[in-house]
Parts: sequence; structure tokens; C-alpha cells
Amino acid sequence: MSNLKRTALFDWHVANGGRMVDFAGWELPVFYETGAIEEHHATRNSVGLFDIDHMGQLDVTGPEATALVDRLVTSDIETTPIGGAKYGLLCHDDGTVIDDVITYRLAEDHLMVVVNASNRETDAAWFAQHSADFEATVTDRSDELAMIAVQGPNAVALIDAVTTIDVSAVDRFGSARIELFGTTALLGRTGYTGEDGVELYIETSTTGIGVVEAWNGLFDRADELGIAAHAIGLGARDSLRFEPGYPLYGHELSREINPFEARLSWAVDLTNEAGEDRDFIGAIALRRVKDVGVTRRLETLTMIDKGVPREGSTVVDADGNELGPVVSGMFAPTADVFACNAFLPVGTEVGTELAVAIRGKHKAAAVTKRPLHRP
Amino acid sequence: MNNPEDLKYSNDHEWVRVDGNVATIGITDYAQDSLGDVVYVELPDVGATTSVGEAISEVESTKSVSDIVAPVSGAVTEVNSALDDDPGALNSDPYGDGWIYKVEMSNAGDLDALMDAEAYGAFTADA
Repeated sequence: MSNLKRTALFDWHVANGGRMVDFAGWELPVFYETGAIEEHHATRNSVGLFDIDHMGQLDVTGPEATALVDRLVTSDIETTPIGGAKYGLLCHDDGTVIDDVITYRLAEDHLMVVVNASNRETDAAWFAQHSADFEATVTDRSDELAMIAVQGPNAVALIDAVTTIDVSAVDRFGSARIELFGTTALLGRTGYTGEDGVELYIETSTTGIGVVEAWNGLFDRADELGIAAHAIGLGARDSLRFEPGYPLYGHELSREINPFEARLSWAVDLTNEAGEDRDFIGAIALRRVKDVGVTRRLETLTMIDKGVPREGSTVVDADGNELGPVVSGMFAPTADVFACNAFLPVGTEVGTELAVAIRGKHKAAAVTKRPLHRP
Repeated sequence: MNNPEDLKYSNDHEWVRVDGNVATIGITDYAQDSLGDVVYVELPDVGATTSVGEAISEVESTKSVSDIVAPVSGAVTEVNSALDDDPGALNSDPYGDGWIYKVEMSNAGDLDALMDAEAYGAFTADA
């Protein structure tokens, strides 16, 4: 795995039993010694720490920084308060999805767009391509910022104990600048598990290897407080995002899928607060999709027969007709079911019994109410 | 890794316990450790006949799905249906409660192609 990138915590992962795998060109732990299921429960019950340094960050600065991001992101960035963050999508002209991103509006002339590792180069090029029309500069800061997520019912108490700010006073999707074990970081009250918690963007360029100290410091402080804290690998990260119904790019989102099919209309602001049409890339196509309606939509199915549906399986009806592809599937530990996400014809109602073709065998499954779990 | 001396091992990381003409088959400690949490085992059908090298069963973990490749030929006489409710037995007790199926061997010579514990230990050390 010599071509793969490593995070500053690579040695920690290996020393702590992390099973390292290739994820979007990064060598990251899929799980640690005690396994993905225990990590999943640890996050739902107490707090999980995630090394997500593979995520990318694009800084957008300049007088027209907001206007540039507002042109590229489906959600209304102009109205995002300073210090606030918003989930949104980068769409192509045809309305299909290039990436899903979180935009932090740090100042009038400074935004940070957090992108998926697998799309970092694509997104950076997309921003660069469109920045020419704006008085704005795009800088890829991914290599200078380390990213750690702290998620779970005890996350805020833990972060409160290591910072001088009152984290509970930071709104959901709000942010704050903090001091963290001698380094500086941006704290966002965001996450990808459905649990309360924060994501930390730690400056490594000015302070050396601050991320390792912060990581170890968080575990030490949790120990002192009697809070059970676990490191979480990619396996549990996936099941933790799957249960509350969050999309994973390359699965529920892609250049073949539009946001309405993926049930993300809430992240598509076709108009601004004044009711005027917004002019982001993809808006024209998405207005048409909204008017005409979609023919397929993301559904979650739970297995009636035993079996693990995975990406590559197909949902079929009683006659064996193929209805749509499974895009994610797994054992969901908190919901305690085998379940999958699939794109199915509009009108497929909750409760409908279908089957998932898993390596040639048709196994009964039922369309279920989303999400599987809401913390 | 723990590799009991009285078992035979395949290079697909299955173990075989021989009792007369009946072989009991499971996955090794090394295999379960690599797979991570096992969440489902697709058991073979009792009465099915299997040949060496044939994929007869599947083990699903939180990470992936892996075929169980028959290490010996014969007819399946019994499957461990307790795994339906407790697939994690493959992790917690791979050589005991985590056994997968038993087979009436049709060719005892199949065993000659398998490794002993020492050879398997060396095989996994190189892996």
C-alpha cells in the first residue's frame, strides 16, 4: 500500500490494532481490535473519535468569495450567518452531483468548503475553473488542516473539558475558534453520525504535529472524566451514517443521480429568501426536475430473509423484474437489522415486500420508513 | 494466532477436524481476525455434495463477504444452525462453537493436500 497517503495518526492506528485499508487513496483503519460493531455502539452510547484527515478543505477568500460559493453550491450560502455552516451539493449543469460539501462561512470574505477525499482534486479544479469569473481566490488547505470528529452523547462534555469555550453554546451547524492542547482549531458543531458532537479542523502548518497531541489528549481527558472513548474506523463510520440516512458520495450520490432522487431537496435552494430564483450551476436542470418530477427515489429496505445486501445487489419484485440497484447495504447495529438503500420507482410504498438478489439468490425484504435510527 | 495441533488447514484459511470419515469445517483464528465482526453465515444445505475447491458457504463480516471453499469432498451431513442467531461465534470461538458444517468425506486422500498447524502457522506468517 506504498502509494497511499497516510494521516499523522497512522502510527497510532497501527499501534492500536487498526486494520489499514485503502480508502480513496488513503491508508485508514477499517476497524480496530474490538471490531466495527463495538465501535458503532460506543459512539451511540458514549463518544467516538474519528481520524478523518482524508477529508479536504478548500478556502475561498476575497470580496466575492461568498458569491463564488453561492454560484457552485445548491444551498443558499448568501444567507448563511457568519460563523455558520450549511450542507449542500456541487452539481453539474445537468443537475447530477459532483460532491456533497459542508460550507463554513467564517467571514464576509472567507469561506471554507469541506469536500470528500475521493473528490478533492475534482472539486478543487471545479472551483478553480469558476473562480475566474469572481474576485475570489481558492486555496486547497487539505494538507495543512487535520480533521478529527468527536461524536456521541458524551462528545460535548469531553470537548468542553479541553477547551475554554462553552461548546453547548455553539449552535448546531455553528462554529468557533478554539485552543486545543496548544494548537488552534476551528470547531464545527457538525458530524456524520446523527449524534451530537463536533468536527475539529486542526492547524498543523503553524504548530507542527498538533493533531497527535490533540488525539491523545482527548483520550487522556476522557479517561480522567470517566467517559468511555473509542477510536472509530471506516466500518463503523459507514454504519453510523447509514442508520440516520446520510448519503455517502459514490453510493447515494453520484454523477448519475440528482438531489431529488436522493431525497435531498432540503439541500437545494432553488430560490433565495426573497423568493427570487437562485443562479447556481445545475439550477436550471434541477428546476426542470422539480417541475417534471423524478421517476425513481432512494428507499431503504430491511431484510426479512437473512442475508447481507450490498452495493451490487439488485432489488427485484415478486416476478423477478429488476426494480433498481442497491447502493449501500450492511448490518445496522443500533437498528439491529440487515438493511440497504436502493433507488426504486416512485410510488413504491413503505411496507411493500420485495426481494434483494444477493449473488443470485432472491431474499425477501420490505421497504421501510426512513431513517432506520434517529438519535 | 492460535492454531490447534490436531487440525488440518487449507490455504483458504479453513480448518478441518477429522473424526473417522466425518470432517468438521470452520474458519481459522487468522481468518476471523482478518474478517472482523462476522454478521452472517450463509450455511450450505444438508445433503449437498461438495468437491474440493468449490465455494460452498459464505461468511459476511462488517468488512466483506468471503467464500468458504470446500477443503474436502463429500456430502454435507450437518450444519451449525446456531450460527443463524450467533454468527459472532466465528469470532469468539472459531475452533469450537464457530464450526460451520460437517461432511461425510468421499475421498480421504483430500486430507493429504492440507497443512498441519506448523505449516499453516508459517503460511499465515508469510501472508
